[in-house]
Amino acid sequence: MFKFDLLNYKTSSYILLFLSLLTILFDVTYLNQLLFVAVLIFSILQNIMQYRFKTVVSSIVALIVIYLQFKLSENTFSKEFFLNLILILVFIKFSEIKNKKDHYFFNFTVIFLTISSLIYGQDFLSSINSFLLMLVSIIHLYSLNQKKILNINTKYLFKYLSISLLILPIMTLVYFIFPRYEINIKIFDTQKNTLGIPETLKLGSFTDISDNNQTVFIYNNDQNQTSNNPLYFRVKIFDLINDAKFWITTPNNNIVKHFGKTHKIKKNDSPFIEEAKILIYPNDKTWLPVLKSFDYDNRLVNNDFLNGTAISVKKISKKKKYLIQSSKYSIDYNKEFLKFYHRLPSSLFSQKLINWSNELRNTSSSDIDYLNNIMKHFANGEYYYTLSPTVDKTNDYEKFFFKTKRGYCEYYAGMFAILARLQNIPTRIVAGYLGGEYNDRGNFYTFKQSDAHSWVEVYTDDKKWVRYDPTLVIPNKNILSFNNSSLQSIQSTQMDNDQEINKLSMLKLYYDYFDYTWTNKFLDYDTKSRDNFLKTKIKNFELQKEVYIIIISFLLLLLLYKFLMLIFQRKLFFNLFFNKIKYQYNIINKPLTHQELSKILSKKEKNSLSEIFKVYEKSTFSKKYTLKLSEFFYINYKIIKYHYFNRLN
Amino acid sequence: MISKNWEKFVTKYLIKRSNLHKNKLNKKNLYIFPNSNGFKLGAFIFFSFTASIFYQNNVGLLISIILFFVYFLSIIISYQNLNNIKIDPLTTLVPQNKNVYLDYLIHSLNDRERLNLNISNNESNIKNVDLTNQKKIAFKNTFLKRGVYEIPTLKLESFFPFGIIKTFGLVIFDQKLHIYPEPIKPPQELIKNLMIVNNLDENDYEFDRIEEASPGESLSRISWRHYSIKNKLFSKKFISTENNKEILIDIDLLNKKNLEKALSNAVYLIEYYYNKKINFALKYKEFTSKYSNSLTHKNDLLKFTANV
Repeated sequence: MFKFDLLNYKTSSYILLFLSLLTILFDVTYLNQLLFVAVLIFSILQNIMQYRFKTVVSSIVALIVIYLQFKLSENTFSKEFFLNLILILVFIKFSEIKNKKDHYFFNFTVIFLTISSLIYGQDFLSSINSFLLMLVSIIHLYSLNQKKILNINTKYLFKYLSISLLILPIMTLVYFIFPRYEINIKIFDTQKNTLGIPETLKLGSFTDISDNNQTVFIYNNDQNQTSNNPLYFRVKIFDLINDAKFWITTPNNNIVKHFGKTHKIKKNDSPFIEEAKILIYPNDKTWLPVLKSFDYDNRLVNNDFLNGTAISVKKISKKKKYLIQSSKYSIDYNKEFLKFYHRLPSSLFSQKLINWSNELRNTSSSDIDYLNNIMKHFANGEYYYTLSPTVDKTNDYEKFFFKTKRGYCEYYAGMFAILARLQNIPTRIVAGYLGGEYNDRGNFYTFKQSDAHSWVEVYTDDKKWVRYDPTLVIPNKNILSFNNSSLQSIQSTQMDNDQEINKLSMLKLYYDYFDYTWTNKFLDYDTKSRDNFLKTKIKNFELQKEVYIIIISFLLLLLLYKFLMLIFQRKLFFNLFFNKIKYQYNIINKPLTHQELSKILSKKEKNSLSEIFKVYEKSTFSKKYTLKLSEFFYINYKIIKYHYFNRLN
Repeated sequence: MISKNWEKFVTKYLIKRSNLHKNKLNKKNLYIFPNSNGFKLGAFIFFSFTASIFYQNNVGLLISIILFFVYFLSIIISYQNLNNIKIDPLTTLVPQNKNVYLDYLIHSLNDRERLNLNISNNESNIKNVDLTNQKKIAFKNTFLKRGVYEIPTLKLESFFPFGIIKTFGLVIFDQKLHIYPEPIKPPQELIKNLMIVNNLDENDYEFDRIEEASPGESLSRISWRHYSIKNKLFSKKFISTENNKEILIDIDLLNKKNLEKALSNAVYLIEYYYNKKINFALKYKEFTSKYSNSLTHKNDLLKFTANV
């Protein structure tokens, strides 16, 4: 005997309460977390205490919390705001629980929260949490109604299990074949997020976005396992500096309008095409990260061959997998067009800087030598890498270069580009992500927002854009604070190689791997995947003879089983027999005994069918009577002959 | 308003079906319907199902499929909880105007355990029962009119296991309920008038015991069997008790004006003489019963008084 011990419904309601908190807790700010914990404590106390005007107090608290939540959501009616409100509703409902009816409402609200929270994130951990919530809410529903736990007899266990197993084919069918539609009803926009790269680049514009540990995308290249070269993912190109010394992106339309004839797109003839996967996390923006000389293989992505970047047609509102492959096209630049890349309003900079640049150029043998000398200048030990340089609202690059000498990637990249452009060298700033955290279990790189980086590209005489990353030349001892984990690892590749990976980071590694697999294999299944799946299955269906064989042999076995059971139980078709007589004499609805029926029959019929009546009497009324196999076949044969062919003999 | 009409309609239909399958609850007269909570949850699962499809939310889709399945499973379990139940009424004879308990014996026709059955014979009288094999339950009732009636139908309900599906059915009984008049003690004179003492023969005296014979005793009472064994004279002793009396309860004589009162008095006397173990018979107009003191005799006469 198996006994399922189900919990008391009050305990399960507490578990539901805490699991509900966990669904959202890690996706909100610390202040919001504090608010949730405070409301949770209030609801538990309110639930325990008994006093008058409980509902009034709850309502007042609810109104205050809604106001505070609105303030914490930066005064916006965002999706997150409403999701948080559902959690608050769960808490308030818990505080007001008096009877079982309230428990039902509480339970349904929790299920509502479970499903709606999944619209925002379906990573491995939140999925487990949701499944747990569902399980506990089912237990809660049971415990609400029953005082006793059902003892399931082993005899029935198989029956219950077989019913439970029905879920598998149903799930598979619904999951693989059920229609899916992509309808993104945008009623409320998501809260202002800091994922991505700023629209314009000025000193300090990375400060707000780099202090963020959220995952931005995952890169996976099965063909090229681990490469020693750091991965530079491009997101935006800043090719123009305006009068306020802001680096901006020139829209492609403008470039085509002014320099349309000065550059050509040509097709590459490289036979080798390298492919890799990118899994983008939702950011509600259109930019996509791409490696140099790679393009997106997707109709809904516009590849910008001029800048080597890509933009999605739709905003990315959920996790999405993309395929990138070696670029099939490259750009042929005209000298005229290259002048665009050394535009620099000289009036913006002081004579001191221009003189410094000219002096360095004069001492350098070539443009390349000049650029290398700038790099050496940054590496001379006077410059420091810090995430909190003195904030300067005037956006003064010269102050950084000559005085403060403290900054991070965009300071160095911006300054480097200005110095290059002062000597008419075609330069542009590239902003994107550098490094990424490598996961050796799943062979993929996770890029976080803190991996945001900017560097410079210079067009050389070899007709190529060459990458210069002035941030990387800052000596190790001059790095004061950093977010980009890869920055240090790239600089000191051999330093901590022997350091033991502790258990916690191993756990994180495995978690990331499971999460990646979960997302890649399960969550990524969408309309397109379903169409492809069905197409391939229907096309290959004829080939799969095994499926037919399995189905037919199963049916045959079933038939054989039925037949054997018929023989084993010696089942005679008396129903057919009596129905036939009733049908013949038009007395279908009359409840007559076999004796009454036999009286109706004609003499001829009586004589030929008397055997069947005798056997019926014996088998029904005598306990000792056992039917012989030959008799079983003979009687059934007679019945069938009589029923279907109307033959008496 | 709608729910009341709905319930009336359902009950009417249920009675029709249950009349065909008396004393039993099986798939023919068992009904399954989600209750308000079930409707709420069902609508909610459907909503999350469609939302998951539109948003291509795979985990949400799986959760709603599982919840759908749980819903479906709860229908089966709830059905199995009430299916194949047989109820036998143990009480078929009760007095009028008195608080009486109607006993029923509930059988589970297969050895499946059944939990949380709500059994009621009217709305205010609900019993919660867990059933393994068979169980006796009793409902308190008061019947105001004598006569032969249908045994009150029992309504069985189950919200097992999640409280979202209501399975229910009515059990109508084959047996009839006889309500006999309320026993009222007649005046003492009337009782005396009824007593008819019969002078019985010695032979009808009942054998009591064996005692050693004293000289001068009638030889007819000597036990010769005992003498042959013990070589001593033993005499058989007989006793005469009131049992030997026979009483005819004539309803017409009890109260000529009021039949109901006369019947009540007769019922009292039937019970009185039955308890005193005196043979009695009942007479009403042309009907005269036989003399006896058995329980069946008493019940038959009580049924007679219920029917008159």
